[in-house]
Amino acid sequence: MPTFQTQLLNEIQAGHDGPTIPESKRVYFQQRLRDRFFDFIVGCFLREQSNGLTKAKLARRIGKTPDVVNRWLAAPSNLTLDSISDLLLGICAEELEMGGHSVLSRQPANYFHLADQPKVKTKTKTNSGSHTVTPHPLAA
Amino acid sequence: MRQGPSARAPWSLLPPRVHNSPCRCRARVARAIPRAKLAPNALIFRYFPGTVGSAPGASTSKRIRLWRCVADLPQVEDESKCRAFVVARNGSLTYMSIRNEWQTLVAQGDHLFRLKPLDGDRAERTVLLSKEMNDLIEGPWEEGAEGNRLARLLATLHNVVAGRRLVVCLTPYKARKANIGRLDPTTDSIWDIRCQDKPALRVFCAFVEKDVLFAVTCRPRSARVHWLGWFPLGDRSSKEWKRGITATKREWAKFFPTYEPVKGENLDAYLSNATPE
Repeated sequence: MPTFQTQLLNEIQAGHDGPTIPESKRVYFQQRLRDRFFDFIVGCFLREQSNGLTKAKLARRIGKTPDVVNRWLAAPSNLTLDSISDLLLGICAEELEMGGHSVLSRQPANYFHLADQPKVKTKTKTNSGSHTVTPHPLAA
Repeated sequence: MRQGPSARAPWSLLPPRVHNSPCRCRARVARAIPRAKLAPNALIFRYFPGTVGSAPGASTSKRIRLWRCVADLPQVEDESKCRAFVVARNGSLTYMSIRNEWQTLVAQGDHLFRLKPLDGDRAERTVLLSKEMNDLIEGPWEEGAEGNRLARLLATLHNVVAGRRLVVCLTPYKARKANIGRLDPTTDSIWDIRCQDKPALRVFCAFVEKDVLFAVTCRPRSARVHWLGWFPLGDRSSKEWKRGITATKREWAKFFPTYEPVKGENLDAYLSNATPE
């Protein structure tokens, strides 16, 4: 596993009295959040496109020019909290529900997109009892 | 592993054309051996990365599978150069699929690496990394501009692995905000992952199969960065673009000498959850 990923959570899991979280790690999660917002917004837009929504209609609804809407929907780096709010209102009349989950102690996901992967079953103990985890054989 | 009952050297079983040049090309082997002549003895060929060309149709037949076996083969060339063997058996030539090929290379863990998603993320796509890319991402990074930029690059690659929506531009020179763009000439099917935060970077890659990218090299787009040992790519006619594409093709040939990258105009053949720009 790459060094950065191995050490990614070191300072984060140190608790409230831990050292400063390095800038690069904060930047990593900033970028990640941006990408997740963008994925969510574009997903909403594509869903509503099947109901007749276009970028022109959306621009008119939220009082922006089509160029601006086009830019917002083109790349994660163009989004701001305000633009996200505008887009969600215009696209699907929604607002975000706040929530979060810890980045610590997550189990690696079992899912792998290639269906014919051989699976190796191992038993592991967790706090909530025992269950079967199927790690990907190529995982480091 | 011994194939078939014959104790004779496998080469002696081959038709003369193949016998004289046992390692030239899969396609040639396939042409040279009519199915009827193959049964019941297994005929074993070895091929070498430097001597094989592309094998059109290799991935089209389910009967085609490539066996890895080392026994009963005459010492015709340096064994270490031999990447794999083609085994023709029971009237059909079989090849190993490219999926088996890259999975074997990843499992060996020396030269080809698979980017692991952050714990908790689903692996909806696969990003394979060359040694150069793996070293770049593995770090350690200097805190500051380098660390920040590489952290964004890693987040971008994790975004690809997690299967989030990608904006794709199939037409060279037309990409504006796409995440991934196809490079000129399109016949090579070399792509770049566009990391547009400053300083902008481009990761040259090719599609091994649907949702499996092979990221080869990372180059600065416009401004020179001291932690990347490459000149900026510059404008579209610059030699640096050609060098990047050539490096990608060279690396591809090293790992997948008998396969071609995914090609075509159908976006669905390359990526799921992607929209054209």
